[in-house]
Formats: sequence, structure tokens, C-alpha cells
Amino acid sequence: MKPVLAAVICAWLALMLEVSCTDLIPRGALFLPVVCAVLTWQPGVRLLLAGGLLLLLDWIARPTLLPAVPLLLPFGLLLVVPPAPRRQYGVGRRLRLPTPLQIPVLTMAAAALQCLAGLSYVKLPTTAELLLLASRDLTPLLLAALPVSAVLALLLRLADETGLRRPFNSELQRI
Amino acid sequence: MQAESGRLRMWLAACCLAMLSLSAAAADRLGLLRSLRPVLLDLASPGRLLVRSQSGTADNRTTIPTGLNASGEKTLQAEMLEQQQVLRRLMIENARLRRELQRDRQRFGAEDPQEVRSALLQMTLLPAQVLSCRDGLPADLRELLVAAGRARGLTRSELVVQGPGGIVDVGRAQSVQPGDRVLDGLAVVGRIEKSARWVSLVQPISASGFRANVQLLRRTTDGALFAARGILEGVGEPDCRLTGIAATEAVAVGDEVVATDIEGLRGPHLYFGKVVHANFLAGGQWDIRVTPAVRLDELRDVQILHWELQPAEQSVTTAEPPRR
Repeated sequence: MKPVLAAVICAWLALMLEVSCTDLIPRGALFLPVVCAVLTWQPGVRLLLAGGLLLLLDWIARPTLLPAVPLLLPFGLLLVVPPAPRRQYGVGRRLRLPTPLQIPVLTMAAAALQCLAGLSYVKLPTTAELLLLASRDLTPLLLAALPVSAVLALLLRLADETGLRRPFNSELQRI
Repeated sequence: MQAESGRLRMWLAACCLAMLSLSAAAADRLGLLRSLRPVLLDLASPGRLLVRSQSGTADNRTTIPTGLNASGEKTLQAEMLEQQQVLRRLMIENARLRRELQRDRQRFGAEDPQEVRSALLQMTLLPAQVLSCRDGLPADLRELLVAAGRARGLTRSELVVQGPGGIVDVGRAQSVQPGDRVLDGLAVVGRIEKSARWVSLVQPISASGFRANVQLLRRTTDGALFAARGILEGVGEPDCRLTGIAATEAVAVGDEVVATDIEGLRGPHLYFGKVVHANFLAGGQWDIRVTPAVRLDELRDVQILHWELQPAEQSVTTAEPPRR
């Protein structure tokens, strides 16, 4: 329960900071990297549910047309982060990402989903509208969120080196 | 084996989250989450309150001063907004003066400025920041959350307006009455629907269930004239509907729509929008559509009209002797 409690507190602090400085901080620039770090800290059911519920509560508080981030990001996590040590003869397809890249890639995916969820979809968006969305909404968000996700990735690596993080629940990571 | 079961559990958890998200989207569409939204933003408000207290911007109540001068630099957009508001004020004042020539006018139940100041209530403007806005969506999903709640005395049904307001460069010498000209022409955004402790949910004027007593303001070659009275209704579409106009009254596309009263009390003429469609139906009724003056996605700061008790009277001098 400790990781879940710590995750909720960190996400709440990030959300408070975003809400307090809406002029300076784009929506999701702090909250999304923190939630992605929560999801990748210790891949398991508890933190997955905690992260997903935090994303859902954020959508309820600051809604868009569709809850695309809580709907799709958990599946993206399962594609990116292995829940167990890679076995030598393991089967199944998944993306192989180095650990330091997991948080930034998830953050980029979450940011893109958040921007796409803001479209009205009365009619299919044109290329010009998508380019406008990318330049107006996505770029400022990524400019703020990616450095935060990079710092969190470094902290995750530091936690790995100091033994604070055990990414696989009950199995020792094979060297 | 254990790893495979763990992975399966995670996939199940992801599917449960997806189902929960879709349920939340359906509940939001039915309006079931509207009461939860201010509560969640209340939980995130301590940071915003702390930042505000640190920066020294306390809760400023913009009372209606007289004789103060406008100050501060304004952006081009703010200047255009202010010019529009000044134009509306002049039109409304023109129409009001014309009406005074035709019949006796009662303003706040009295014409004597001293009696106006001795009234129990005064109108104040509470500035509030827009926290969340959903525009560009189907009209029944449009809503607005502002950073003002029960902690600042709001309950519900206060009107939310846009515009600088409150400070003008005219004063008692020009017979400016408190709560009157300064607020004339401010564009109405909506009404407070629900108040949490620090945030409030605003019902836009185009939302289903919004009602307001309004009057038409028409530009003629002789100047502005007040025309027919009716009720402005939100119907969940981008444009509002104007009902209650008698079949014998004249309505034209381009007529401005202003308020007749605020919460049942005589007050300033707030601006709602412009008539974009006026069709006289075969059954002897008007089908009138009004487009709102304010787009929700352009809002950053709003002001909330709030009635409060007047402070103790101070000794003031008047330009005119009291009428007897």
C-alpha cells in the first residue's frame, strides 16, 4: 500500500501545482509525467489501477470530450513495460524499450492522447486541423512535460542503482 | 507461470479501467458527474490559494466606486473589449434617457441619489479566474468552472459577466449611480449553478435550463430605443431562444438583447447577445434566436455579480440638493 499512497500524494501535489499556475504550466505538463512514473515504478496491478484511477479523476475534474488517456494509456503501458524479467525463450510481441525511455515515451503518448481527446469529432479532423493542434496544444505541452519526464526517468534509474526500486514484484532481476 | 498470471491480471486491470472510463464518459454525457467536478477541483485548490496568498493578490472585491480613474496598461484585445462595452453603455444610456422623457422612471425605488445610497443592498463584482472550460463541444456538454466558491459568499444563481467594469472615469458629477452605469453593457456569461467551497460551476446562457428576463434594444435613426420584453431561454444549442414576445411587437435581426433585472431586483442592463433569427410563424408567434455575446473558449477571467449589504454610510456631499 505504501507505493500506492506515495503515488496518490505525488499525483495530488502535481495536480495542485498545475491548477495553481494555469497561466504558466500547460494542462498535464506535470501530472502526466508523474502518473507515467507511477505506472512504471513497479509494474503491477495495484499501481496500474492507482495510476488509471488518478487519470480518470483528472479527466472528471478537467474534462475533455473523451477520456482517451485513462482509456488507452494502461494498454500502452502493457506494451512498453514488461511485467516480468525477459525470459530467454519467451514468446509474445512487445516493444523493447530501454528503461530510461519508458517514462518519456509514455508521456508523449499521454500528451498526444490528451490533445486528440480535445477535438470535437463532429466531422473527421483534417490534416490542417491536426497540424494546428500539434503546434498550438501538443508542442507547448511536450516542451514542458518531456524535461519533467526525463528528470523522473533519471530518478527511476537512481532508485534502481540504490536498490529502492524492485520493478518485478517477487522475482529478483537477473543480472 | 507466476509472471504469466501477473501479466494476465494486469491486462484484466487495464480492461477494467477501460470499462470504467467508458462508464464515466457515459455518466458525464448524462450530467451525473457535474456535482463531483467542483468537489475534485476543491481538493486541488489549496495549491492555488497558497500561490495567491504568496503573490499578495488577496480576494479583491471590486465595489462600484465613483470618481476613480481607469489605470494600467491594457492589451489590444482588452481595449477593443472596453470600447465595445463603452459603446453599449452609451446606447443603453441613450435609450434610457429617451424612456425618461415618456414616463416616470424609478431606479432602485427612488430617484433621489441619497435614497439610492441608503438602500440596503449594493452590487459588487467578484473577480474570478476560469479554471476549466469545455467549448467547441456539443452545447449540452459546454460548462465552465471558475475559481470562486462559498468561501467568498457565493451560493448559487449569481450572474457571471465578462468585462473590465467597475472602474470608470466618470463620477458623482456626471450623476453616476452605484451599481448602474458601470455595469451597463457587461456581457453575461452565465449563472452560478453549483458552488463548492473554492470553485463554482457556471451554467452558460446557452445551457438548457437557463432563463433570464430580457428586453430588446434597437438602434434607430433617432438613436437607441428599448423595445419588447421577453424571456431568454437556453435550449442546449449554441444559440438561445427568446420567448414571451407578444405577436404585436416588432422584432428585427440585429436587435441587441439586454437584461431587465437581476435576480428580480432592478439593476443595470447587462448584455446577452444579438438577435440572429426572427421569424413570425403562422400560428401568430415569434421564433427568435439570439447568439450569445461571449464565447466560452475566449474567457480567462470573469466577474461575478454579488449582492451584499451596504457598509455604514459615510458623510458625502452631493452635487445637487435633495429633491422635495
